[in-house]
Parts: sequence; C-alpha cells; structure tokens
Amino acid sequence: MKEKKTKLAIIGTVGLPAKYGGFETLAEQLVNHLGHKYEMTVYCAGKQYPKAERMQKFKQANLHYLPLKANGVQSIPYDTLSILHACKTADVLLVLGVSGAWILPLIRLFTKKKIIISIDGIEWKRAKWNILAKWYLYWSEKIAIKYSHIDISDNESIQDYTAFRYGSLSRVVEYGTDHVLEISPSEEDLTKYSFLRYPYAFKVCRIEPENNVHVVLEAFSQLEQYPLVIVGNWENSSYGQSLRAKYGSYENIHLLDPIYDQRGLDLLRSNALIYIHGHSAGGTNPSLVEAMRLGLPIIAFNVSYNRTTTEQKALYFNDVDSLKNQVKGIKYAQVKTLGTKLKEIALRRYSWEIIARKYDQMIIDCLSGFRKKKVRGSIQKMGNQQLIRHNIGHLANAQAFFKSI
Amino acid sequence: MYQYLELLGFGAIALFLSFCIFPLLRKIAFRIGLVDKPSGRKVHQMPVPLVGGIGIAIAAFSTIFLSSAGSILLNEYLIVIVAAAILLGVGVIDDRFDIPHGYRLIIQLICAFAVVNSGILITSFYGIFGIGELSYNIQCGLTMVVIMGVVNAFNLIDGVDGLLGGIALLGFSILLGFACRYEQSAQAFFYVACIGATIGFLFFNLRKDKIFMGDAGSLAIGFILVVSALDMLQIVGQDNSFNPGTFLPLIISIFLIPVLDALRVFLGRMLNGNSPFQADKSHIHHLLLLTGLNHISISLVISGLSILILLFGLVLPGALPLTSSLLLIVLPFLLLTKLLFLNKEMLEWKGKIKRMEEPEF
Repeated sequence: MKEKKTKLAIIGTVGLPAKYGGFETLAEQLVNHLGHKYEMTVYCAGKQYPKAERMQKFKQANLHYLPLKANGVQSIPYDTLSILHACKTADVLLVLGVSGAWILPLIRLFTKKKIIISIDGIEWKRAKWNILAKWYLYWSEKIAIKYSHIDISDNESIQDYTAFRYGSLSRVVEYGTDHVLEISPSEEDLTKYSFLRYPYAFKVCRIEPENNVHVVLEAFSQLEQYPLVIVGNWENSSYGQSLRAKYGSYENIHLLDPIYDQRGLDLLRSNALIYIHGHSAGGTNPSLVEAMRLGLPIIAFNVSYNRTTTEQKALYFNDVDSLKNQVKGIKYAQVKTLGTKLKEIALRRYSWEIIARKYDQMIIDCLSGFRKKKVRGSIQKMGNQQLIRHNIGHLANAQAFFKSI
Repeated sequence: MYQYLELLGFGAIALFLSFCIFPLLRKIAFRIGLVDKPSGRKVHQMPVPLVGGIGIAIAAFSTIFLSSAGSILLNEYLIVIVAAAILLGVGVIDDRFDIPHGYRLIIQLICAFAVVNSGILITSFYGIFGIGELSYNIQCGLTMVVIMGVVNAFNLIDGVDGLLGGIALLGFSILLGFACRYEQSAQAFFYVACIGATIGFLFFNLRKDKIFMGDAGSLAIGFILVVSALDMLQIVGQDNSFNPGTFLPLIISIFLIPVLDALRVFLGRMLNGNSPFQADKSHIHHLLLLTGLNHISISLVISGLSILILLFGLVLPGALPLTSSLLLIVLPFLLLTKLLFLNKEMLEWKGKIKRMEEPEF
C-alpha cells in the first residue's frame, strides 16, 4: 500500500503561477522542490486571477480560489477563510503574513492542525498603513507568534525583534534567488534600452518613501555623469508622480514603468554596473538577495536588515551626501571583487534548494511535537530566593544579547 | 411654550454676558499673574489665563438674578452656593499661588460635609448589586466620597482644550432636561444660564489666544454638577412614577468618563508601585494625544463617547436589569482605553525598533 502523504496548505499568497512578489515566488519554489513529498494546496486570490487564467493544478499542487483580493483590508477575510478551509483539507498550515492570525487561537482550540506562520517583516510599522491597519497588524502579530507552532522571521534582525518582544526564538528562513538569470542583451534590447551600452546604476522597487527613492534620485541628479535606471510603479501615488515630474527630465536618469516578465527585469539588472538598494523596511528584501545573486556590487541603505542580509559586505549609505560619496568613490577594480563576495553569500545562503530544505525540516519538526524555544534560560525562572540559596544569585541579572539596546 | 422661549432668552443673555466678561478677565489675569505657565507635562507653549471658572460663575449667576429664580435658589440652596463659591475662591488662590494638596482636600471635605448637612444625600442604591435603602451613616459617608471623587475627577480630566467644557455642557444639558421634565423651573433657569456661559467659555477656550478653566473652574463645575445630580435624584425620587432604571444610567453618564478614567489612572499608578497622586501622562486625553489627534478632535472623541454612553443609558434599561445595564455602559470606555493602550505600546515598540535598526558601525 502506498504511504499517505502529509497535506500542506499554503495560505496568504496572491496565488500561482507567481506573477507578483516574494511570497508568490516562495510558494512556487516550494511546489517545485517539495511537491513530490507533500500533497500541497495553494490558496489563490480569485480577484487577481481572471477565470480564463485559472488552473486546477500547478505542477503537483492543487489550487483553490477564493473570490477575494489578497491585499489591503480584504486580506483579513481572505486569509481567514483560507485558514478555515484548510482545516478541512490539510495537516499543516503554512500561513504567509499575519492578516488572518486572529482566528488562530480558535484553530488551536478546536483542531490539532499544525501552524507555521511567517510574519514577513515588521508590517505594522510600515508607513503605507493607516492607524487602524497598524493597530490590527500590531495586535495580530502578537497573536500569530503566540498561537503558531513555529514562526518564521526572514532575517536575523527580525529574529532579534521577536526575541526581544515575545521572548521566543523564531526560525530564520530567507528567500532563494536561483530563479533570476544573467542575460546578455540582444541587438533588439540595445535599441529598446540605449543605456545598456554604457555602465549604469540600477534600482527596482515599489515607489514609496520607505524605499528612499527621493534620496537616490536627489543624489544622482547631482551626479550628472553617472546614469541611473529605476524601475517602479511611478503612477501609483502622488509621491511617485511628483518624483517623476521633478527628476524625469534629467539626462542621466531613466525612470521606467514596472516590468512584470522575469527576462525583462533580469536583462536590466544583470547588465547594471552597480545596484542601489534603498529599502528601509524590515526583513530580507527579495530584490536585494536577487541582486546579490547576479553578482552586482551593492550600495544599500544603512539599516540593520540590509547589513544582516549582505553580511556587512556591501557598501552603505545614510543620506544623499553619503550615497554620492559612495558612488563617486567606487573603483572599477573594486566592482568585480565586491560583486563576487556578495554572490558567494547568495549562493551559500539564498538558494531555493536550501530554503525549501528549511521549510521541509520545519514541517517535520512541528509534526513531531516541536515546542518553541524560550529566549530566557530556564535558570532565570527559578526565582531569586532559590538562586541565592544555591549561591548563583547573579544569574538573575543576566542580560540577553538583544537587550543591549 | 412661552417658558421654553424664556429659558432660551436667559441662555442667550448668559452667553452674551460671558462674551463681555472673558476679554476683561483675560486682561486682569495677565496683570495679576493668574496664568498657567508652560512646563514639561503641559501641552501649551504660552502663558494662558486661568479665568474660565470665574467667568462662567459671574455670567451664570448674574443671569439668574435677572429672574425670580435667583432668590428662590438663594433661599433653597444657600449652603451649596456658598460651598461652591468657597471652592471657586480657593481654586483661584490655588491657580495663582499653588496650595498644598492636603489643604485642598480638607476644604473639599468641609464643602462636601456642608452639602450632606443641608440634606442632600444618596439615600438608596436602588437595587444595584441587590442593595436598597442605606443606613444614615452610610448615606453621609457615601455622599461625601462621591462628591469629593467627582470634584477631583473633573479636576484631572481638564487636560486638553474643550474637553471639560464639552463634558460640562453635556452634563448641564442632561440636568436641564430633567429640570424641565419634573417642572423645577428655578433649577432649569440656572442650568440654562450655565449652558450659555459654558458655550461662551468654549468659544474663548478653543481660540488661538485662549483661556483655561483653571482648578477653580474644574473643581467648582464638578461640584455644581454632582450636587445638582444628587439633588435631582432626591427630587425625582419623591415622584410616584419614579423609575431608577431610566433615571440612573442617564445621570451617571455625566460623570462616567472622568470618574472611570481617574479610577483607572490611580489604579494603574498603584499597580506600578507609585503614589496614586504622582502626576504622569496616562489620562485618557494624554493617550489620545499619542494617536496624533488635535485638541478639538480629542474633545469631540470623548464627548462623542459620552453621548454614546448616554444613548446606551437611554436604551439598555428598557431591555436589561439595572445592574447589568450599568455595567454595560462602562463597556465603550473600556474598549477605547484598551485600544489607546495598544497604541501607546505600539509607539513604544516603534522607538525600540528604531534603535535596533541603527547599525552599530
């Protein structure tokens, strides 16, 4: 008789085939790498996949469509309903994002399903949310950590934060990069993008103040001999529109609309001389690790997340002046070695093979009764009197590594 | 109908008088130093005259002595009026020179005692928590505790522009409603005069070159409101058709937010191992300031909450027993403070994360 496969539900992505962001690529890669081992169901947002595009199955995974959107306020019912439906069909629920976390206490109370949740950066802190959304996300993050069997941080700096706030140890699992390709430009590409013939700096991101687009543009507007290409959704916000109006006319600055096909994007970034990464929001940013994989030398915004992701090996900027200095200071000879160092990190850490193995291990762990580790040592729970009696009273005052701030 | 027009006229007179008085009081206040100077815990930057209480008192009392209501009230409530005047006077001195807390409490105690002695008492619990008629000693003690509690709660809630004015306006309006319903015309004239004067105060309070209520105003208004409410309770209680279930939730909703907030703050301070009188920034208006709302919006939020509680008080007693409906009208307040604490905690974590994000190199 054939052994029954464990059933895994992936919840909280827009859906498959991946055409959006990091979580969707992750889901696709998990299907690629673990599809033979688990019976997978991926929940998809019906509103973002027109009926004609929908598939019953993606490779070995079943797809289940809900008539909702995966983003904004609709993500709350979308995730919630997905979780409830998955309780009927799956053994392990992999929940990406915390929007539906409010239901988890009930799931824990009434079912024996195992829950793995990825908190995806510190979402409640992001500038794009209004105050009500921030309150909800702040609260639901707490619920997510408290009522999951395993929680995932995508960056060690996020792990520090959850340890500090919740006193429990989170698993660090980042993103893979082997889906990006180095592409040499064809004649057609060269006529379409004339800047490909000369060295240029490149950046791709959502056009939001958190990604420091204004800082990067201001710096390069003062560096006329250094071409800059930025790909992003300029028309989506007044911030983007005003930036395009202000900087669009500079000869060295090329502001392009979003590119959704992998080859188009990979063409532009793999042929850049340097990559500028302005993200300041928490976590491992997929666009950063993908640039590392392409062997690009990177000038990244100076926050702990980016430093952790690049293992301190990239160049960093804090403001317009320091970015200008970094760009002007970079030497052609340096470019190659810097890029190689970053590529080594990406090959070692950010490969889907390794990431999928980590997810596999988590599923095995939570099925075998794994409990979250507490950050504080058990000796500190003993109470002062008892510690003093054993002449180890000083241990009551031990400070954890993350408390140094 | 004629009487309502008369009432409206008196309200307008009080409003007009307050418009004449406040600019004058402003000037005097600057001359004699009756101003609030900016300090760490305060939210304003320029010295502000503390004349709200005196102004409202002058406007309201001058108005009622234009009618026969003045002499009736003076006859019936001489002790209460004198006690209120003492609180007001002591408050003014406190605003100018700062009187130690102990003395303030003793004077409040004497005023509360005078009120109890004049026969205004809480005589019964009306079946709340199953308690009915009270013994005389408990009546006296409870009444004094309630008066002092409300007076100090009103003093503490006076933290952002328009807030105490708004709560007072709502309170006087509810009392006016009861005075009209139970045909207490002298009281009705008094409340309508207070409403007019308070509207005048709010106008000057919410301007750029503003004035504050001052301790004098917050103590005296708290005192007048709570004594009026207790008196109304006794008057209404004598009516044959009296039903505590419809009356009590409404009258309690005047005081609910200041009192609950003061209790919550005191309890919080004691749980943190501090003195309950140790000043900090944990009052409901401080928590609301953290959400980024401005003063007027904060006053509107809290007044809106008061009105919500009032509506609860109107609707619930019809459907539920008195005790459960009183417990339920507390719910909106608890939910709001819960949310505000979540907000405060979130802001604290934002600060901590900011420090974590900064690289050490």
